[in-house]
Amino acid sequence: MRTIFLTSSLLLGLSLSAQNVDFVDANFYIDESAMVRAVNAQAANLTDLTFHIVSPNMPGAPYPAVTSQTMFLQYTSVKTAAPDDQRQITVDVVGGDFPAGVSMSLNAQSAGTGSIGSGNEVDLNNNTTSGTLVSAIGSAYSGTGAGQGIPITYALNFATEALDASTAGMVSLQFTLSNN
Amino acid sequence: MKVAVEFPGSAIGWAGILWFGLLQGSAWSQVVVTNGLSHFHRGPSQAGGYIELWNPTPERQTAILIRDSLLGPMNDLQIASEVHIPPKARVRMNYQWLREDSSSQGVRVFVSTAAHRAAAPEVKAGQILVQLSTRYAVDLYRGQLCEELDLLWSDRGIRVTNQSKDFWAGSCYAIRNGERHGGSLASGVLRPGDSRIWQLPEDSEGAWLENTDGVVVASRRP
Repeated sequence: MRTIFLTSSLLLGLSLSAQNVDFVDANFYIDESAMVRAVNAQAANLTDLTFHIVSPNMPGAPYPAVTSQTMFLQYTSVKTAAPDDQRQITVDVVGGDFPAGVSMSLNAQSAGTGSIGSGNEVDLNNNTTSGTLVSAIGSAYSGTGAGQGIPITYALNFATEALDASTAGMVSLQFTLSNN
Repeated sequence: MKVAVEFPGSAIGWAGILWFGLLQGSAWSQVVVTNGLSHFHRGPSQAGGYIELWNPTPERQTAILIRDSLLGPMNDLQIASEVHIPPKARVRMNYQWLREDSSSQGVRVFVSTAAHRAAAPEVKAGQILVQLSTRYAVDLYRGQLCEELDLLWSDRGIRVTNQSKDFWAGSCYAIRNGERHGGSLASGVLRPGDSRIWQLPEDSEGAWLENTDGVVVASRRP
């Protein structure tokens, strides 16, 4: 008898439940994110990065090469359907000039988790002012910690005989995250 | 932004030490685009849309929007050039195509965050200042999609040319065993007259180009 009572209660409960609960649509909204920032090796926002082209110690010697430096681009990207299923990061000189005889190469190595694309090297000078650093990024993220992100290694290229110390200026570099 | 800087000091002073200084501004692009970097509107019936921006920071930010032409006059698109975004808030930047004709149009909108600089950076004698910033590019297209492409194989891959007056939008895949194989190798929007070379794996049998409507143009490797 007791068993029958419990069963009846259970059936009653199911019946009430069936009458009072509607189907609920679950709506998912996923941001098609595009985020990027430039940081140093300690994952702090960059404020400055300085190169010195220093005269040699010995008369007759050429100017010594300048040690390259590395920064990181930390990013998050969630793609959508084609044609926005691949992103790229480009660099542009948006202001200023390089000094005479000096050019700069930026070497990017793709890094992160997911579809991280492939990195390229870009040479910038007064004639070539833009290039693609990383292409074919899909849904991926770099991490936010020290040493995480796309390493961008800057190297200065010059020949002593081409330098002109009277030419100088300001150069503005801008990184753009865009559709491929 | 062109910045003219005069450097004090004589050429003799420069001869001793030439500094090449990179002084980077705030490179943290605080404002984020959250509804994609490429929007396509088909024909005159879709007169506008929006770019959704999110400020994930606890501070109020100002987003700057600058237009550039991808195809045709950029003035054919109307969108605000600046917006203030409260902390942790999202805003929708509505845009509108102004011309009602059916011609193909394309505008790129660069989105950046206004820098908060207490003062202009000091430039010392012998320094070269390189400022660094980040931005996003949102490509907006309006027009029709074409289905045909001209394909030409070369040593570097397959040259894809859009000779129609409409856009082609889609992806490129490799062909193996006579079928589409793997994920997309490249994708994008080809404007009228655009031509690109897309590389394929050497062991692929050909190229499978599929537009966003699912229409396929394929070519076997010669």
